[in-house]
Amino acid sequence: MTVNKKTDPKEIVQLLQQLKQSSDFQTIQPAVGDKQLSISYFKTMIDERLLQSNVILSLQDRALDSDFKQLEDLKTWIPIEDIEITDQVDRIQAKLLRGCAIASLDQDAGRYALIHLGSIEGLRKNNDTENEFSVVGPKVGLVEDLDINIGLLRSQINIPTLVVKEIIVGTTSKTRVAIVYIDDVTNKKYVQTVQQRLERIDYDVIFDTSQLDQLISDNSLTPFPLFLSTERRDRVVYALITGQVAVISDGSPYSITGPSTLFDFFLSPEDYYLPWVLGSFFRMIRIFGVIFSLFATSMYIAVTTFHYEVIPRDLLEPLIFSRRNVPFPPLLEVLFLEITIEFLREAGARLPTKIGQTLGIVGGIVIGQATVLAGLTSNILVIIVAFSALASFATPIYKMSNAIRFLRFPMIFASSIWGALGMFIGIGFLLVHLSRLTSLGMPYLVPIHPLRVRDLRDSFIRPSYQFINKRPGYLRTESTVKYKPGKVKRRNDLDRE
Amino acid sequence: MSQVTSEQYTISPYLIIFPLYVGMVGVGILTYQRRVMEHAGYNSWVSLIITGLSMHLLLWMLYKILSSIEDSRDIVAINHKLFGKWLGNLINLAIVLYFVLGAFVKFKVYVEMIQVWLFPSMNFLPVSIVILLIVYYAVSGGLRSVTGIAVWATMISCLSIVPQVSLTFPYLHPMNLLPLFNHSATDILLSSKDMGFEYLGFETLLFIYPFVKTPEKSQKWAHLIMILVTLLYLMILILAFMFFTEEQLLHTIWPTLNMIGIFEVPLLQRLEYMAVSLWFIKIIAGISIFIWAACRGMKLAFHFRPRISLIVFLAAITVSSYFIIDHRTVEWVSKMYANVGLYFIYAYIPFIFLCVMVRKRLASRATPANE
Repeated sequence: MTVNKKTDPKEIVQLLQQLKQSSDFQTIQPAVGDKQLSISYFKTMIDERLLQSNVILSLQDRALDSDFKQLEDLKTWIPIEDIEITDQVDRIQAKLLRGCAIASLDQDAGRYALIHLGSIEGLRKNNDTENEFSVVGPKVGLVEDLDINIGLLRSQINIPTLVVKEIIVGTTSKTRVAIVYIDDVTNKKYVQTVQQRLERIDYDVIFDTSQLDQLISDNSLTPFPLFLSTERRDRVVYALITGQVAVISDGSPYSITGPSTLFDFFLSPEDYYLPWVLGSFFRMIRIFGVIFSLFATSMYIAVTTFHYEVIPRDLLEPLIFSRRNVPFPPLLEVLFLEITIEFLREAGARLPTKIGQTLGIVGGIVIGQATVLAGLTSNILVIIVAFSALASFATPIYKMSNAIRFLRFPMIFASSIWGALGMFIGIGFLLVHLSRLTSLGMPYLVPIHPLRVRDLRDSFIRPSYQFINKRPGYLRTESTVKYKPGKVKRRNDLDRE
Repeated sequence: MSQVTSEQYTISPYLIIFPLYVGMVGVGILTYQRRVMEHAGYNSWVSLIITGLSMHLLLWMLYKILSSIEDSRDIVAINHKLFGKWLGNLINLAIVLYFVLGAFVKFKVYVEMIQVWLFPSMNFLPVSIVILLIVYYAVSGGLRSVTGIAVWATMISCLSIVPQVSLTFPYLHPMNLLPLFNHSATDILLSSKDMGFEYLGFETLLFIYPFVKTPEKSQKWAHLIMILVTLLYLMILILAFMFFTEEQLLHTIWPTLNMIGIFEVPLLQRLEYMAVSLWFIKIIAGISIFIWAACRGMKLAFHFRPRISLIVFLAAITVSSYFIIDHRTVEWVSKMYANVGLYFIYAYIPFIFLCVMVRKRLASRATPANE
């Protein structure tokens, strides 16, 4: 934690003077017996009812029959657990800004009792997932409060070895950030790396874990997310039990887990809730969707600009027919539609749901239909672009689908310059880039590179639970077996009872 | 010269198959049928097997060479040990240049292939620069990223072989292979010699070896990939034999691509356009592994910073590929590379092997005498 030299007062008097500038900082001076107590607090940070009923009332009650002598008496007099007595200025400051009231006695100057009266009002109570839906499976998501999130995780990982390490990040926000892992599973190397990187962060306000994601990532020159960020509890729990580290921060409903591989982003918890055949099928559809949305439009450009020979004769006719009136080269045609789709997405993401739907109809149907009628694009291209946009949204993690949609554009330009060769030049760059990426020092492309055949099991397909009882080898976990697979139940003979 | 390679740069033993595969199999696999059958005709599959076997012998020698001398586990150190500083470095320089030449030939042959199949009248300078930028990006990530792209290249080429074989099936004439033996042993051996060129590239092992975690364990993998490559060559050769007649094949420059050109899948025809582009991934992997070996050699022998030698090599390749345009010169260069390469693997490696063995024998005789 870096300390801001200018605003950190050395003396308690100085601190109080600074604080008195704010109108929500209050000091009350209730009399307790014959002693004069003064209590200061931010009225916006504490629960004032708690102050009334638990502090002032109980102090006055006790003062009737016993004698208040020193600050330490507060600990026994007030029915609040979290009371601390200190004379360190930075400690007082930190606590005060986190919803503590400070109490002092006039004759005992310099020492303060810190009484925790904090409230967490104003945060949403509803913890349904907002952005990552699933048809089957739980809908519990994380919320903006760290303690509730940790509680949510603990309620599903019911073992004493779930470790939560809390550190403070951000010079201005002093956000509480928790590193969560399972002690006898996760490789300590990853925990240490995360902790070191988090401690090294020098940044002012942490709004969201996405910022931490970027601040601690291995490589900032990449469109790919190197940590998986999710708001689903089942996803975080799954990551934890496979041996990854999760980072959650106060004020953010998203958790980031790492080290993650490229494949993690295409898995959905639903794969595991459906029968494995269906789970595998949907997963393959998703991976195919990614490939399709990356290359479909650039393939269209390559073929229509350079390699007409590739199209079979029967297909050539409708293609030429649809492009006959289009006055633009394929590149402009594609860019026009792709950017329209991006506009729709960007506008739709910021609008309220109801307007968003209307916009989708206006944008999708009206604009699409009108551009074809006006002869600005060919209708085959409208189909391809719409397909690939749809396919890109099949990726379960939003950040990954953003990366994929972004990567379409370099591909489009490359293939408009050098046709199919250009497209493969783009792919070449992409593959080299991917093989150089690491997440917390672990190769991003594992289990493809470095190839680990055993871990390939749970990548393209989702095998039956019998075969995925071990943790992935590339995570180098401390214990490898998750559970003992049950015996396959097979009838030996036809119709035998 | 430290021989211990830090853990974070090493690769697992089985990963050795990928750099070896992309090193060996290049554009050659699209054209070798004609060259191989020049002497032995339809019997040249025998020559191919002979060459394959000889490669196993050479690979075994390589492993013996690299594992025999303690604390010198790459060719630069071995040359220093055997021939002294000056002569050793001269040989090392030659080896480095040989690898650069190999990369250049791989690159230039591919560029020619694009010229023939995709863009006959294209200015190639921009494309070459972009291609070599990718190579730079891959090589500057070290052996691990080079292996990464090699893994992809291997997977892509494996995936592309399956449809190739299955789609040729209806067009095959198995009777073409008969009669089984109608060429003399000399012809068959001459064809074997021509085939040797297609295997060049496994000698990058001379530099990769110290980067393998427990390198001794990688030997079985290296032999495995050698068998697989031989089988691959054999399969494609026999497919071509059954697809073309002997006369036809002698006049076909790109038999594999011509075969691919016949196929039609529902959405696409003339698949060779895609195949030529797809080959790109494999080519950059091949070039990367050669250039990496050359940079490594420069670093070990002359303490050049790899990044600088990388830039110098790539610049040299760009410039020379800009000036060497006509097909005859390219053919001459690749012929020369083939000859040098054959001497390198069939003469230099056995020679070093003998030297190392003799040295080892002497050393083992010397030690008991000391006791």
